[in-house]
Amino acid sequence: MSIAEKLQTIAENEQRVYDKGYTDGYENGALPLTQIKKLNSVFDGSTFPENYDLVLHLKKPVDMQYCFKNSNVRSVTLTAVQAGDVMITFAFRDCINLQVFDMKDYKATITDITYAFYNSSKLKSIYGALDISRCPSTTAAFSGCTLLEDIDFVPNTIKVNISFSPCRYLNEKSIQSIIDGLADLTGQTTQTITFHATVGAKLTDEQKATITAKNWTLAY
Amino acid sequence: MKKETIKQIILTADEGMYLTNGETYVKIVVLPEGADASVWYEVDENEYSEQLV
Repeated sequence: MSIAEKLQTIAENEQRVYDKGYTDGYENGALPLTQIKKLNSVFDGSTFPENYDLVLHLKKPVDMQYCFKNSNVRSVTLTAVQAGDVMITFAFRDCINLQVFDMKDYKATITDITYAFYNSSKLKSIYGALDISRCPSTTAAFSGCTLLEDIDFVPNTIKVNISFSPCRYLNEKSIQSIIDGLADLTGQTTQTITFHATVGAKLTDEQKATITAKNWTLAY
Repeated sequence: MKKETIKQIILTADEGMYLTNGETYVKIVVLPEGADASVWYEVDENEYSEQLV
């Protein structure tokens, strides 16, 4: 089924739900994908219309490994009614047109973020505080994200090595959110936070002290 | 009044060199006191450039 056909089906399903007067507690008729259990590889390699901004309304977060890999989507907004766990491994790998990923209403706890945004070279903003406390690794999650500016973490949820070394344009709010996101590892194995050299040079002594006081190594 | 003393180990690569732990290549590493600084070692820019390929 082509992308256009999939989207047409979604629109038709949404209309059917409205027509039936479905009242399952969802908002704005956000029902079309209620039966979806996984989004793994659904749009892998897909060609969207130029500058396409995709919005998906789900009942709860679902795994989306490889979901948008090698696609040309410009932005992705996900919402959910219920909370849940989600694996976004390779989800946006080589998504070279992606500029925005909005998950602020997705109610998701991420359980795997490895290679999630690998080589999303135009990615500027990730909206929604990321909770990665249950991620065993963050390998290459932001590799190639050279234009990333906006990112937000739930405090104390970064527990393993994490690198933003390509991200020279992180804004002050994002930098502080990353620092606040580092969990206190006192008494545990030291982990490493890596920033781009430009970002590292802008850190205040207080920020550096906060990082090391939590038993993190800072590298830039 | 609050007083804190933070001790850090700061490693700075010499000119033309990078610091690496085998995975990450940087110019400056700031470690908490008590961390194992020996995992970081210097390599020259050629080795850094090779790992970029």
